[in-house]
Amino acid sequence: MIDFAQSPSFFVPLRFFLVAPVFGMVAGGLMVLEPELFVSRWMPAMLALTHLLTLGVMLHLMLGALLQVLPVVAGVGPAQPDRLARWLLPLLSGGTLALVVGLGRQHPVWLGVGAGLLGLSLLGFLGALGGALLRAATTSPTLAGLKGALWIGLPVTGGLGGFLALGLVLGLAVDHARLTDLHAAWGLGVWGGLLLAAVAAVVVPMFQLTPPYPVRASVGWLRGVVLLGSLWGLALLFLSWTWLDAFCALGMVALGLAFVVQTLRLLRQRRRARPDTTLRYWQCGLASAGAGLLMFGLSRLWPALGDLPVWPVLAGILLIGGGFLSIMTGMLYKIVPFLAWMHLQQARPGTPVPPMTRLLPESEAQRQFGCQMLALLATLAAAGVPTVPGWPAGGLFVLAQGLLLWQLLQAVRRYRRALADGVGA
Amino acid sequence: MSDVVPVLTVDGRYLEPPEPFIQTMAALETLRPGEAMRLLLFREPHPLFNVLRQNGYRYTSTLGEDGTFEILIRA
Repeated sequence: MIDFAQSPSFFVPLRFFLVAPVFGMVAGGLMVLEPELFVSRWMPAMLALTHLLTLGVMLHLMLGALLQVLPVVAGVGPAQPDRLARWLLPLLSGGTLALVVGLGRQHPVWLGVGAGLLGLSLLGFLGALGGALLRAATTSPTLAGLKGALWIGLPVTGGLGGFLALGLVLGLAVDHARLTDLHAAWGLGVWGGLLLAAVAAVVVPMFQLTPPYPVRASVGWLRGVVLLGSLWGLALLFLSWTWLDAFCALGMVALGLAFVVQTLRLLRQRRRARPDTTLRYWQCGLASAGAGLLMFGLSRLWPALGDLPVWPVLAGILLIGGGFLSIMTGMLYKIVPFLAWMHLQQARPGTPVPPMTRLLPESEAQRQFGCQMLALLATLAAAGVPTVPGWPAGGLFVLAQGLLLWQLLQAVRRYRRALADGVGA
Repeated sequence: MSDVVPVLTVDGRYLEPPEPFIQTMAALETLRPGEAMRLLLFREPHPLFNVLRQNGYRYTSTLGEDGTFEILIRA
């Protein structure tokens, strides 16, 4: 009889996955209560909304997933994952909440507390995982992407955010607009982009049964993202060379679009017989992200477009709400039942376990997908058309995230029942 | 291990999880001491590597130009 290896408990990443949609519901609630937030990206409520989505939803999902994904794809993980998750989650969630209140209410104390807690949580996470990951042999583009995301993307993004917060708290004379642009570029392009690409290199072929991403081109792409991100930082912070700023921005757009196109091409070659919700989320997410990237690129070629207050708001909704959020939600509908199945196998070797499709049924995923897509469309309408109110978008977003939370909780319930029964549920 | 000829191959590249893992486990049960098998995947299966180490199997993993990981496992 073969012994199965021990991996982090199912509930280590799951805690983060369950908290993320709660922040999503808060984001929806904010859209209901503050309908003016779509007027400009600089509105306090819009800054709060952006960080509810990027930190509250995306970062929670990313860090939770990494706690499980790193042992699976890189063979490295924290020494005591349950203990790590127990202190990391409250720090991360508390920091996010405080920062969002600080941004939304323009309250320096909350801003400072939030930035401090978030800084501690990221340092702690890197301290627990980063060293082992650095020592692991870089045997694939996935490993290279994970290392780049964790050791370059995340610290620089966090550092820029921390510096911005410090500037606001202490009233320092800093160029907030430039730093914010750089913070957003590193957060979405380098940290988010590298991590998404690294994980996609595994999960797209694995769950959609596609050919792999081309190895050499993937390595070149990863290097390009880091190089352009670094040059962009130099251009914005130290050199003030407009041409370099534009070159880097358009270069990042091109790399982002290359990832979108390549992934869509792979998905067209999938061997999975029937399309599922995860596939639809990939397709919609990539299309939305592509549209957001194009909008951003156009605004660099024709600055008059970027000067329209609505343009960056729409681009941001497409990139974050439509792009990253869709792709991550789609991944959840595969990762959670897969992890549940894997842990049931380990807990009950030799005993039949329920198939993944019964732990989180496709029909449930389809309902949530429909709701989330409606929420996205309503948000775009509210942002783009002044006469369209924001509360329907907010309400739909609360519903979509609430559905996601409910379905994840049902998957946990089925997992626990299968564990207790010791047979297929 | 490069001199060992695998007696069977599991091509898991287009199999939906957890099928590659299941087929590999089943194949390992049939190997006699000294025999080897080949597993083909588009990713490195670290959970499988943990199982192999814990159960005394030896393995190598090589990434090909086409993105295929060829994993040779010896009993």
